[in-house]
Amino acid sequence: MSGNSIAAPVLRHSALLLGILLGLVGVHHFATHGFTQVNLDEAALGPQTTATFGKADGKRVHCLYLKHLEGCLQDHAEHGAGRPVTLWLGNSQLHAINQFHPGEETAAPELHRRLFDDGRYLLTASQPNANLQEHYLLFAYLMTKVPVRQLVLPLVFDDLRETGIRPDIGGALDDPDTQALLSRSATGNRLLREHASRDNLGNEVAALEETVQESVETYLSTALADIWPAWDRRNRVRGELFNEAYKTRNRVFGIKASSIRRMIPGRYAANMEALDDILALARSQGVSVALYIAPLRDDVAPPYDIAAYSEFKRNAALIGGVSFHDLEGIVPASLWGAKDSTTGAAEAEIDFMHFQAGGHRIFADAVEAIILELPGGTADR
Amino acid sequence: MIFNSLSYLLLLAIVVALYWNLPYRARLCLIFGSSLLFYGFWRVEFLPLLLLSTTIDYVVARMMEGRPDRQRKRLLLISLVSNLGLLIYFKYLIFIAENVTGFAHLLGFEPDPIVLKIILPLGISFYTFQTISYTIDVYRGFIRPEKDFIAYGCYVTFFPQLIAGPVLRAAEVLYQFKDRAPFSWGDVFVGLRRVLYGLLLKVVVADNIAPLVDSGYATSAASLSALDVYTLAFLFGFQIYFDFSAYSHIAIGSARMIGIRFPENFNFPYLASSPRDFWRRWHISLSSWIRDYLYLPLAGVKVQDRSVGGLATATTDRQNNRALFASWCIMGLWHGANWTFLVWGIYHAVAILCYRIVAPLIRFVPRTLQWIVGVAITLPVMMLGWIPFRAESVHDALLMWGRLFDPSAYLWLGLRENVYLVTALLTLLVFVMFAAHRWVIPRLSAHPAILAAGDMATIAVTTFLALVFLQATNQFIYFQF
Repeated sequence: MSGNSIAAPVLRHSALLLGILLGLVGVHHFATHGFTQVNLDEAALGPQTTATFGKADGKRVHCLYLKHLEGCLQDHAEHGAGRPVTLWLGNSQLHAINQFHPGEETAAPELHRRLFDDGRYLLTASQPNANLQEHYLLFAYLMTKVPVRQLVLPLVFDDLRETGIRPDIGGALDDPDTQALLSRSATGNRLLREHASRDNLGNEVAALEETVQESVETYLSTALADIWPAWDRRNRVRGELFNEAYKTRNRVFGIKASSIRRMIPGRYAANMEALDDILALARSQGVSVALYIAPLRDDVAPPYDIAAYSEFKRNAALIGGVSFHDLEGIVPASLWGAKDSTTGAAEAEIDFMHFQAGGHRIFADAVEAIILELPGGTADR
Repeated sequence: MIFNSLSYLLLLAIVVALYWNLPYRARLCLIFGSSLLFYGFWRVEFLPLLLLSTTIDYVVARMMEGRPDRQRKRLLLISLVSNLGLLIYFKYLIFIAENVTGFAHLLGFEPDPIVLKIILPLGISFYTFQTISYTIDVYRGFIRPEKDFIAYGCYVTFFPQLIAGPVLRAAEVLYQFKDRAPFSWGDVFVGLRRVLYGLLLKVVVADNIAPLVDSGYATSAASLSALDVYTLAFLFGFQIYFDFSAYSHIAIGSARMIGIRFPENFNFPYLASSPRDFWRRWHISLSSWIRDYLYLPLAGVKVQDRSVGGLATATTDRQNNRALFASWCIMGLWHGANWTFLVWGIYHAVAILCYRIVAPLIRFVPRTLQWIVGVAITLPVMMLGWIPFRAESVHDALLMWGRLFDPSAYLWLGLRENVYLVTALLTLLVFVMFAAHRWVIPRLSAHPAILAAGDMATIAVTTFLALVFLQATNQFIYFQF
């Protein structure tokens, strides 16, 4: 055997072992030093926009995901029992403040305080890019938990590009009372079906459920995390890798916050169907509904196909049996802001969705007027 | 037990470490015992069924030895009836009952609904085919019946291939269990490399395509454009390819770590230049099984002992075509008790038949051009074939296919931009992988240092990503078959 033919396998095997070692070092480094400071929820908004879920007189009245909602419901039981609930659902516009300064708050807690004095109880739930199917789920879920009498719902053209239910609120689909309400509609049945068949994204051993392996795997994973803490932090590395992939995509294709987002017909239709189901559920439960076109900055062209957006607004105005309001232009240009580049570049980009605290005060006034005009909402109705 | 888990990696490490330090008999007992443990990690109560199937064919094959043809035939029949009986009971009874009830309704009867609660035992389609092939091979005189039950048990239950193949022939592996192979670092390292690549393909690629596929196929067909249908067909084609080939990589690698060599199960199937070529490259062990134990006997062809290759011979007479369609119907239904799989099987039979008709007409075309045009046509044809395989119902599949014939459905797009982007990148990736395998790596072999550096970087990235994404959140798609 020649020297070369012996050396080749040795070289190959050494490369394998060194490669594995480098891979392990990489996991350790990125999980313990690289990506540990990033809050992924905040990262989605960018550093110039801050998520805040202010309290009203110590009460939790504005919640993000299902686990937070439990706290809101607890505080309602403690401080608002007997009061009818006005439910305000929305996207990150409700919980984000652009160019945030300490002490500032969003419209929701401010509005809660004003309405509380009037014998009402405002409960707000918002998720980034929340779609109408998610609003439908949360509306049905909260209907079974608190006496909802009024519903305030934004129509955000951008969010109609989203579909399905995110895992953070998907747990509501396991609630039997919610299931009963949802099963009355085609959308509800679809959501229940998808939930039953989908893999559990939050559960790292979902594929092992109901097997002997499940407990062994959980034990091993916990034991490994005890010895090697980086193991438990891998989800952050995963999140950051996706974030980098997103930025790379935007850089390569020149996608910015101001790039035109086309309407996606299937998702649009599924969301409008969910809206019909929300209204049907509200009617059947005696809930008054107010719909509004979400505020949008008007100093620059919106990132939408103008024809499609105009048609969407026209159709929204024609929806019967609800109180409809166009809040598109209520926040002046000076109260909007900028956000970090979606491509990782140095220069900031225009933020179309989130405004500054001053904008939230105007927003609160407008929504207060809508709520006061809407039937229901007070105990003496 | 599923491969993409810490428990499997631990089991594999323990088995490999012990195996090479044990004497012959103890090695067999280790493999058999660890295979039963591997299977029992899913559901202990199905272990007796696995052992029953194993024992029936062991006994039947032993009894065949030295008996006259007539008795051998009866014994073969016992094996077939018991194996297929188990398969029909566990896999098809609910489907049959539902369809009988449905048919009775069509005829105006009102039968009481039949409620059956039968759990499909994991891997039953694979180990049943494996035991059947063993008995048939003994019957045909290709192999002698195995006297050592533990060695035979290792062949049927060997954990790397137990749940989703490759479907092995006894002649390919039984002798390897009985060989006292000397320890080889080469085997361990080659196997480890395959396991790592398999994990990468599964947990990084296939599992991250899955949500896009699920979301796409959950969309109403009326909301999909023709390009969306192509995209979703391609995307699922990639998901199932990376998922299943990942399983095969891990199975082949795990076996190799203890010196057992499996035949390859995939060979760049999406680079196939014809439907027939595709089935010589995709799930090779199953397609060759169907060819040798079903198609060729049905076509009246004398069977040779071969284990690789596709389903076809180049004839177009009526008997061959009947055999082709019958084989593909069974191949389809083997994948699942649903009409969608039957449609999938018929689709492929039609594709192969069309190729048989066209092939003689294009013989004069230069080979390179034949290959390029062949790949350009075969790739979308094979991908579109995945639609019934993934769709919830035949109705959904037909609706999706129907969009392709609507000219107005070519004028818009109905999916998120990322779906098109990911699909395009995966298509590119398949071609890049092929080019690297076919041209780049062979050329670099003259420069071992460069090759080793590239290899090390690849392994480092593979290890990093495989560990970061390692989660037992998704089973392998082929587990359900």
